[in-house]
Amino acid sequence: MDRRNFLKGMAPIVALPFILDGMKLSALAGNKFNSELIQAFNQTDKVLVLIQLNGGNDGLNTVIPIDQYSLYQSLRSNIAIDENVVLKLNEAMGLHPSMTGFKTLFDSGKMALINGVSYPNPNLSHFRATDIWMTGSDYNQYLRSGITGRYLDNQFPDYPDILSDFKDPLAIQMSATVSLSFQGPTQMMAIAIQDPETFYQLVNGTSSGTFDAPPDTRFGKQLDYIRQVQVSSQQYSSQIKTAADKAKNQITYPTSNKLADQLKIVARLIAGGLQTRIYMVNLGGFDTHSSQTGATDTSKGNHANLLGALSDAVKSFMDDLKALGAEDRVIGMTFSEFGRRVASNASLGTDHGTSLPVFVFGSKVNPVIFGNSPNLSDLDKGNLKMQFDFRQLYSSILRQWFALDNQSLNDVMLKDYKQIPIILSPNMVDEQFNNSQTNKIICYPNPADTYTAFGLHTGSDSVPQILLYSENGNLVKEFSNFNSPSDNSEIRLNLSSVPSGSYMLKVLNGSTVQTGRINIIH
Amino acid sequence: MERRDFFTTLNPLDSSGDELKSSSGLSFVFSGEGKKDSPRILSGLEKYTGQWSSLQARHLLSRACFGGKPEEISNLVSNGLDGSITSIFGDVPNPAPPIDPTNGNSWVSLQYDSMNDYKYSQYLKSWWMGLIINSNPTILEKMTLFWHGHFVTEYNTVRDARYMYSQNELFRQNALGNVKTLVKEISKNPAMLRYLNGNTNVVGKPNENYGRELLELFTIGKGIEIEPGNYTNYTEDDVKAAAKVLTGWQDDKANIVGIFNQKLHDTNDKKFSSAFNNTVIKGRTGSNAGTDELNDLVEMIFAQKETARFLIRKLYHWYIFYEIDEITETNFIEPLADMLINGNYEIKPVLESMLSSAHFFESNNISVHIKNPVDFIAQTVRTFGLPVPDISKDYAAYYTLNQQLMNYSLVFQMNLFDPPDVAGWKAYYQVPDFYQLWLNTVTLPYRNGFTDQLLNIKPFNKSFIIDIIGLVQKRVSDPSDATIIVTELAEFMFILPLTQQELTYLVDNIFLPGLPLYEWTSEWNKYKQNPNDTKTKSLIISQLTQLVRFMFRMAEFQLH
Repeated sequence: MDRRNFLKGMAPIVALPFILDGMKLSALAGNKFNSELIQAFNQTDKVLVLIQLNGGNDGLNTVIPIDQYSLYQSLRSNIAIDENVVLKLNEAMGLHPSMTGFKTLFDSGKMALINGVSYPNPNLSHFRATDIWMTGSDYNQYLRSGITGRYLDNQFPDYPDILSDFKDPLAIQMSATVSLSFQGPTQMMAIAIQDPETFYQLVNGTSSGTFDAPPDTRFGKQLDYIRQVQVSSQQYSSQIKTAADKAKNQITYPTSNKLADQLKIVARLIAGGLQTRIYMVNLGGFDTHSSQTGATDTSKGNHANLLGALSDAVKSFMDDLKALGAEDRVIGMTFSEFGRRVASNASLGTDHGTSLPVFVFGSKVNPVIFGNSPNLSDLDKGNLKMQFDFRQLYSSILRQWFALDNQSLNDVMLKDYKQIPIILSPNMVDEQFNNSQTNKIICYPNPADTYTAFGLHTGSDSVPQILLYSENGNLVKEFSNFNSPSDNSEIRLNLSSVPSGSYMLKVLNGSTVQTGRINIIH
Repeated sequence: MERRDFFTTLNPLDSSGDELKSSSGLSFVFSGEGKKDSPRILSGLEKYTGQWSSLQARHLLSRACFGGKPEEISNLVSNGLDGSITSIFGDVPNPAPPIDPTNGNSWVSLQYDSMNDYKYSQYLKSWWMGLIINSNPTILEKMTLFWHGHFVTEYNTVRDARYMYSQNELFRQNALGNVKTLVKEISKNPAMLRYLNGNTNVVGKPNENYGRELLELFTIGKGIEIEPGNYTNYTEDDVKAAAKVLTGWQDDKANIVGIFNQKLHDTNDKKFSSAFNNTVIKGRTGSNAGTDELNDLVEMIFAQKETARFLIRKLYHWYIFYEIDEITETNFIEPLADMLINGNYEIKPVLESMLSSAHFFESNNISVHIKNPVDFIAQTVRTFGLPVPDISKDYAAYYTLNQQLMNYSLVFQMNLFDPPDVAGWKAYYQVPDFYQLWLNTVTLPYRNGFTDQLLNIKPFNKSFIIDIIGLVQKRVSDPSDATIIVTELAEFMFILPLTQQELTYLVDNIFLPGLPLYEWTSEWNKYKQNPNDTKTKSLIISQLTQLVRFMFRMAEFQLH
C-alpha cells in the first residue's frame, strides 16, 4: 500500500475509529502522523473571499424595497433612489443603479442575496460591531479570537509548524494590517501582503539566526512575536511569488478602484495554485453620515461611487476567475459592521443602524434571494429588524463550502446556528450519515480492496443509481456495471480503479436515498 | 507559551464579565490568577529610587519623547531623575507654523485654496515630522501626537489643511494643560465640526456622530453592555441627548473657527440617564447657549470618575504597556485617576508622576513596547545623528527630507493627520494584539527596507546616509577590536544588552564569518594608516554595513 496515497484520502479521525497496524489511531493523538492525517484530510481547493465594507453600509439604498416604495420615499426623501432607476431583482426589491455588475451576476445565477442580516441586540459602535462580526460573539460577549481564526486553528492545530505538504499561508489579508477575524486562540492565523513582487524583494537579507528562546518576560514575548513575523515573511515569500508569477490576470480590471486592485492579486494567487483558503479584502468609506447622495440626483454621490466600485470590482474578479479556470473553487461574501438608520438626516446622510443585506457570490452559490425586503412598517426605534443572524451565514459556509464536520463547527461557531442553503450541491459529508441511521448501507468487506458488496431492497424494476463521493463531496464515480438486483439481492461493486481513500456511497433507489461509508485500501 | 495559558485560565468564551471590565473599544485586560511564568509588576506610583544610568535615561527619552541624541542622553544621565523630568516637562516656545517650501511663505491663515490644499496638507505633515525629529527632547510633541490619536480627525475627510493645522495647534497649546478645557475646545474646533458632522447637527434633525464619539471614544468610554443600548457608563439615549446639546455649531471657513448659530440650536431641556445621575441640562436660548450647554455637558461627563480612569488607561497604553492587570489597576491607574480629579483635570502633574514612578522604571516594563512608525523613524534618525538639513539655511531640502520620512511613516501605517478611523491607531486599543499590529509580513519588511536605505543600500536620499566609519570612530572606544565594536554598537542601538550568545553570533557569523578576530584589527589599522585609500575604506564600510544591517533587522531594534 502506498502510504502517501493512503494519507491523502484519509477519513477525519473524529468521524471514524480506524485501525492501523493494529493500533487505534486515537492512541496516536498528538503524534505527528496523526496530525498529518488530519491535515491530509483537510486539504481542499475551496476558497472564500471576504469583502469588508468599512463604515456601515446603507443597505436600504443598496437593495431598495420597491414593494414599499412610497413609505421608503417618505422616510428618506432627500436621499431616496428614484423608482425608475432601480435595477429590479424581483417585484419586491431592486439594486442601486450603480450595481450593474452585481445585476449581471444575479442574472447569470452567480449571486445570492440574504436580506436583513444582523444579530440580536445589535451594537451601533463601529468598533464593537466590527469586533462582533469578526469574532461571532453575542452582543454581551467579548471574544478574543475571530471566526476564521478559529476555523483555521481547527484545521491546522500545529500552525505555525507547517507540515510537509502545506507550505502556503493559511489566510491572506490584502492590506498592511491584519484584522481580528483571523486571530486564532493563540496567534494570528493570516499574513498580510499588499504586493507579491515587493514582498519577495524586501524579505531577503533577514536571517532569523539561531538564538536561544527568549526569556519568559514581557520583553521576551515581544521578541518572540517579532522573530515569528520575520520567519513568516521569509517562509511565504517564495510561494507567493511563485503563485503570482504563474497566473496573469486575463481581463482588464477597473482602474482607480481600490477593491479591484486587491482582487486582482487575489485572482492571481488563487489561479497560481496557492493553497491559501481565505482572503480578506476591504473597501472603506461607507460611514455616510453626510453627503451620501448627490443633492439633486440621488442616484449619484459617495455611496453610489462606493457601490459601483464594489460591483465593478467583483464582476471583474468573477470574469477573471472564469477565464483562469478557477471559478468553481471560489465564493465571496460582503459584510459590514451594520446597516444604517431608515430615516435620513438633514445632511443628506444616515446615522448608524442595524440589519443590512449581504451578498454571497460564486458559480457554486445557490442563486436565491433569502428573506423579504426590509419591513419599513415594523421598525425597532427607527432601525430595521433582523431576518438572519450573520453567524448563520458563516456557519453555513463553513459547513457547506468547507465541509466542516459538526463537532468542529460547534468549536468554531461556539453555538448551533440554523443553516441557510447557500451553496449548490453542498459538500456536507455527515448529514446523511447522522440523519438517516435506518437507511444505512453496510458494505462488506470494509475496508475494501478490489470489491465490496451490500444488500439492497428494491420495490420496483428501476435500476438504482449508485454514486461514490470523496470526503470533499466531489462525485468520484457512478457505477454502471453491477448485477441488476431483484428483491433482497446483493450488489457487488468493482473498486479496483478507485484510488485508496475514504468515500461515501450513495444509492438512489426509486424515491429512497441510502448511504454508507466505505474505505478503500489497495 | 504565555498566551495559551492565559486563555485556558481565563476561559475566554465566558461572558461573565470577569474578564473585561469594558468593551473591546477599550483595552484593559486582567491577566488573572495562576499566571505563574511572567513576573508581575507590583510597584506603583511611588517615586523611582533605583539606579539612574544610561538605560533609565534612554527608556525615559524613548517613551516620553522620540529618543535622544547621544549628547542628550548624557545630559539626562548627569541630571538625575528629577533634573531629567524637569527638562522633559520644560516649557517650549510655540514653533513657527508650516510654510510652502516652494516660496517660503506660510499658508495657515490664507483663504481656503482648493487648488493647493492637498499640497498644503503634505507640507503640514512634513512640518510635523520635522518638529518631532528636530525638537529638543521634551514631552510636548509626543503628547500632541497622543491627543491627535485621541481626538481624531482625518485630513482625508476634513479637506482643509488650515483646519488640520488649527487643531494641531490646539493640541499643542493644551497638551500639558487642562483636559476639560481641551474637550470643550475640541468640540468647537472647525476640523472636528466637519469631521464628525457637528456642523450639520441642527434642531429637529440631530446628527449623532460627534455626541456618540464624544462619549464612546473621547471621554468616559463604554462599559459592559448590561442591556441593549445601555453601556453602563452611558446609554443610547444619552448619545441622543448629547447630540441635542451640541446642535447649532458651524465651521467658519474664513476665520478658521467654530461659531454658534442660535437659530439652529435645540433649546429644550436635555435629560440624561442614571449613568449621569439623571442630570438635566437646561435648554438655553441666546448666543451663549451653545457654549453654556457644552460646558454643562463636559462638566457632567467629567463628574464621573470613570472618565478619569478611561483617560489614564489610554495614557498608560500610550506611554507604558498594553496590559493592565488588577494590581496595576489598583496601584497605578486608580491613584492617578484620583490625582487627575483632585487636580481639576490638570494633566501635567499626573504625567510627571507617571513618568517618574517606580512602576514606569520597572525592569519588566523596559524595552517591551513595539516602536510605532514615528518612534521608529524619529529615534533612528536622532540616535544615528542622520543629517537633517537646517531649515534656516535650506527650507526646501528640509521639507523634502521630512516629506520622504513622512512617506515611510505612511507605509508603516502611521499617517500623521490621517489616522485610519475615528478610534485612532489600532495598536493602542485593539484587543488582543495591540502594538503587535504595527508589525506584520508587510510592515516589518518595509521597516527593514528603510534601515537598509539609511546604510546606502538603494538609498531614497543620497545625502541621508549613516556615516558608518564616523559612527564607529565616535561611539566605539576601540574600533580595532571586533568584539568591542559589536558590544558597544549593541549598547548604542538597543536598550537592553544583548545576550552573550547573540553577541558571539554577531561577531562569528555576521561581522567576521569564518574569520579570526585579528583579521579585522589588521584591516582597521590599515585603514587608519591610509584613510584616503578608497579600496581599504570601502572594505571597512562594507563589513561594518553588513554588521549594522543585520543589527537593524534584529527583533530588539523594534522595541523600546
